[in-house]
Amino acid sequence: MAEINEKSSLHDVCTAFIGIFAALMLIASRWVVDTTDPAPFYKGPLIFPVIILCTMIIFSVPSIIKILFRKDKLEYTLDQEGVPGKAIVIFVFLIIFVFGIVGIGLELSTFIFTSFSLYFLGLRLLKTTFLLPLVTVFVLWFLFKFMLDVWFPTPYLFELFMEQ
Amino acid sequence: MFEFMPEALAAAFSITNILALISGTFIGIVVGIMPGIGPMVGMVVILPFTFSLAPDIALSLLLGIYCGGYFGGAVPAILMRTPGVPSSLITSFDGFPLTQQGKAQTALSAALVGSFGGGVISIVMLFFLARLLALAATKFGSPEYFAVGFAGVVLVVMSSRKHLVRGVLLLCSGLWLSTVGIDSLTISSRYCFGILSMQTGLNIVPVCLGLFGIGQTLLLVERKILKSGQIHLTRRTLDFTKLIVAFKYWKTLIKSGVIGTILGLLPGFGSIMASFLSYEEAKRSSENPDEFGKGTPEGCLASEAGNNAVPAGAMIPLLTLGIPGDALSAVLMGIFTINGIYPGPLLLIKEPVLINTLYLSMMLINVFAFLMLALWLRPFAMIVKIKTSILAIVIMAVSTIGIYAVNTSIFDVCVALVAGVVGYILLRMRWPVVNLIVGIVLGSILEEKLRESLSIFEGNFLLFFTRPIPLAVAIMTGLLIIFPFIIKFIKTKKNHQPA
Repeated sequence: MAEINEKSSLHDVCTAFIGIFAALMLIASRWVVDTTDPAPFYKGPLIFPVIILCTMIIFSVPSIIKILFRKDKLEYTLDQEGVPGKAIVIFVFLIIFVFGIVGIGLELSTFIFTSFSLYFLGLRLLKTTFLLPLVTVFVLWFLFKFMLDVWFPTPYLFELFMEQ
Repeated sequence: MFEFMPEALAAAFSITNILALISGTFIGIVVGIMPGIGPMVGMVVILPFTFSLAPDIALSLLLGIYCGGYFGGAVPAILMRTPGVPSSLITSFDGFPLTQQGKAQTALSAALVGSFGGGVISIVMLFFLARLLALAATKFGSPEYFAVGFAGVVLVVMSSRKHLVRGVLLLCSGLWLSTVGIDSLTISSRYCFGILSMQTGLNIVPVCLGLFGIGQTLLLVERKILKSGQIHLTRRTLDFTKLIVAFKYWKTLIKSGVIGTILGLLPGFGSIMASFLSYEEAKRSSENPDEFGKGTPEGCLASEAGNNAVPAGAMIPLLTLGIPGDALSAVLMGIFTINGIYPGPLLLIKEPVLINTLYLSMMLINVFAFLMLALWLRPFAMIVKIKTSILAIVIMAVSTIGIYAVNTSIFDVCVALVAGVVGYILLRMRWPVVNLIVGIVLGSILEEKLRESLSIFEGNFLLFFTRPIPLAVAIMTGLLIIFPFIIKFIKTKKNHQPA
């Protein structure tokens, strides 16, 4: 793995983000935590999250101040690996794969996901883009459908054809 | 102590348990050998399959992966200077120079003997220490439990004290995430935002699978292909004649095993620290300290004994107090609770057969891992040649379907996808993800004990310090916090003194 730039402002941005999120949750606690129980505060459902959220806010304050009041330019380079283009594309494929299970079924969705992902990652031989996805589909089908008998939704497309 | 051994022996040597141990160890070695994958990814990918198994079999399978991973990590560290698991980096300090000198078999023999010896020593220590700690813990009430749990949390944070803010924030994020859902004490809804699926709380399985199964594999697709062409092993198996060389360092082996177990016992220290301290101690007490770093089997042996003693060491607080010391034991704790087994002092009294089976299974894992690697050394080493991108995509597909299979819930898959993105960002930024997992797992226990204690003290927090155990734990924790700073202060003062 590439060397990490510990002075990158991305660390402060993340810290500040967590702090702001904690502050928002603390404010929202009034509405998103049911406090109708008559128990005193120290027995109630809010005491623990309030302590935790306050700790998070306290620890993120220095980073928030650093970002807001820093005079020199902020440095955002994390490492030498740049924007994670491949990871982003594969993640988009993964989201499509998940919703594909509902739309076109486990087998077809898995085949398309593995095949397209491997092709995108530069593995373009027939055995990697066709045979390997086929083996993956078979293994997943065997493990989850045949052995574990896991219920999968009837593919939406299949339902559509059946109706017609 | 030994009255349940016959039953435990029968359970440990049953065909299903042996099969689970062999499969787990095999998977563990494979994922341990593959740089960037490791036992954590192996465990979380296998996790969904364990729900259809009996608890003891599921634990054997996962323990096999946990311990087998540390065994496997040494192979690429020695042959290619690329550690399979992070703690094997220290093994490469001497292992790779030995390989360059044409003594790869000597290095591998020392590493294997170290791993085996470290594992066995730590299991023996687990056997006796767990019982002692559990006996003490039977006298614990809620304030004592909270104090010990809080001390564990502090230790986890202190292990990343170089980046204290990140460690605290991730731990607290985990603790906060554990509060999402219906509060078990007052049946009040918390942070569900009207989403029905969130009322049961965030399931540990999709979170772990997302953070490690998806997050880690997204990192892998970005990684450049390893130069594995340099692997040259003349023999298919280990050269057993070289084992005698390793046994020369038996004192180092015992010392490293003890160091590893103690560091495994302390939450947050982990295998890297165990490996490093064992190596440093071996170097300090060696007759030939100058050889360290240039290629000595003693270095490989010390480092591997240290890191392989960690799993059993980490089981001590997990089994006796219900406090996981690292991410891997946090996942194991999840498995325990999912199967209705609640780690704590009563576990050793209520489930003596299960506990003894666990000890025996861990012992068997060490034997199987040693034999597997010794007999199939070259085939295992060749695993490194598999392209990481192929593995990443296959792991992603298996993880995603696995998450769905646990509760047949698309919501869980969505949680895992979000956790995957978070995991990728945190792993890429090298933030201590382990803190997040420990926070999620420990959150509910800490909250319950805190609220119970406050109920006993009628809301007066200061009354915690009127009880001897919480007071002692608080003092010890305070000392542990300030001790590193005092050392740093003394060192800086010494450096600034005029010569």
